[in-house]
Amino acid sequence: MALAEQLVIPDYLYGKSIAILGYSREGMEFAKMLRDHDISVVIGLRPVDDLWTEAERDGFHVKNLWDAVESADIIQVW
Amino acid sequence: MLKKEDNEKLCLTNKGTPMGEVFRRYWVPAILSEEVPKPDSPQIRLRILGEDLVAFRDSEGKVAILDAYCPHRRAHLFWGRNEECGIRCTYHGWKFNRDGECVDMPNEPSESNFKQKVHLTSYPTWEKNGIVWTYMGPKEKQPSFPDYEWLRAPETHFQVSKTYEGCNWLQALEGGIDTSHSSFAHNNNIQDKNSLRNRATNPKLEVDKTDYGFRYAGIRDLKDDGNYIRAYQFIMPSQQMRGQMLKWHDGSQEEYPTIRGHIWVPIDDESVWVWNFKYTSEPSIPLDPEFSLQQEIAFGRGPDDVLPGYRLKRNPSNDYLIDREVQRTKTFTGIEGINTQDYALQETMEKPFPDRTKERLGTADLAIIAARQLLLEAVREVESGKAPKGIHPETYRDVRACDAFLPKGVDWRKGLQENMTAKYQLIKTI
Repeated sequence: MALAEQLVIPDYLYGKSIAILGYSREGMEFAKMLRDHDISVVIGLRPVDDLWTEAERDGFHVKNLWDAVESADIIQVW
Repeated sequence: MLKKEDNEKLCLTNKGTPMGEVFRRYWVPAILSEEVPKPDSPQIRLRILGEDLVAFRDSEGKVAILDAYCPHRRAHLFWGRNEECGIRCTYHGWKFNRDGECVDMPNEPSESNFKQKVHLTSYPTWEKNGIVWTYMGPKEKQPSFPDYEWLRAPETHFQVSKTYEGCNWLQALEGGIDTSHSSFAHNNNIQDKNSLRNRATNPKLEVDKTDYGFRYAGIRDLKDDGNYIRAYQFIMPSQQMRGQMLKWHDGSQEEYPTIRGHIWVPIDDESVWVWNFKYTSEPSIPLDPEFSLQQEIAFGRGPDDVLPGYRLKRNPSNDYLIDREVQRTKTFTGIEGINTQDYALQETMEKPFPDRTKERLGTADLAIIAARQLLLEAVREVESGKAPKGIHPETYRDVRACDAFLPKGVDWRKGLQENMTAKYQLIKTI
């Protein structure tokens, strides 16, 4: 089964702002799902992280860890 | 990671400091009831939030907490006499009742009314489940008494202790809400690859901000066994609550499933009281005293582990009796006692507190970042005259922590809703 098919968005997340720290494959897939369901999502990374440009290239708003945590109601590390 | 001024803002708690004023908006544990066991028993010294105080149980059984220094010549009231509803300074005989009123001044002329103009700082107290709580803030801002679920558990289901830790309060708190260190610092059997925490050392983490602080979960993917969830609570300003319903080594049900936690109360800027509580998660199951004792020993604070003053025998002066052979072959730290392992790592950080401008935090430090932000938010709220989070009991009285297995795909908030809702009911007052 494809990874995206295994992921489920819990009802609780609708209407909330989510920060996902890191940019693992699972985290990225989940962030895309959230975005597809119009749930606000930002990616949190260290500024030195090579994945920063990749996440931005994928169209995500990327913040450093502190700002990402501060901006969200729910924060996840995948 | 944290600006120097923000680090100082959070670490310093004396009167008048930003975080000191935040702490002074909450009821905090001050002493164990056993420290002043009966009316007119000897008073004790204590120090909280940088203030030197004395505590005594007066002739009516009420506990008083007063400024330690007699306002006459600043003699310490530890040397005083606890007599007939008050404490009398043995230097010149001035006597103060539990409200800090001077009720006798025998070295002054009898016609003098000077005693009516002398007042000693006193703080209100409230006694519950073996703990004397105090409130050290402005009278007009005094909140309702605390109503954590564990304070509603009967004495047969509950146990509390306290321990001295020689470091700033913030690094102690941060250790308590750091979810990923337990796979390492508290790995007491490195050969055991089957224990729940060793099977997955980098859990998925989630933090949900709430009106009282946040709840957070470490989610370990145990493949065919489903997800092992440890769901915690962080209640402002300094309480952690966690579940221990399952045995760490194999995930089977504990005979005495418990919820445990700590509250960290600054003594001053370089030391902290760590309050340790546990209670059974099921009201139908009393806490077995022998089980409780064995757990205290496992955590490093059994009767043989503690010196007078609630200090640990394993401490920086003897390198916590580290055993390098045990470290090489059996446990990660080579130090006995789960919380002693924490103390070794925290008490030997930079003094008076870590330089957090030099930290390199990662994604696993999520809960630490969230807590710092909440505490800084509380500083701003208090400075602007508002109430910080976690003041009002209605925001937290129904919450609890747990650990459990859930099938994959089940959200922990939904799957553990019942497990994370208090079972000890509110005590109705008439």
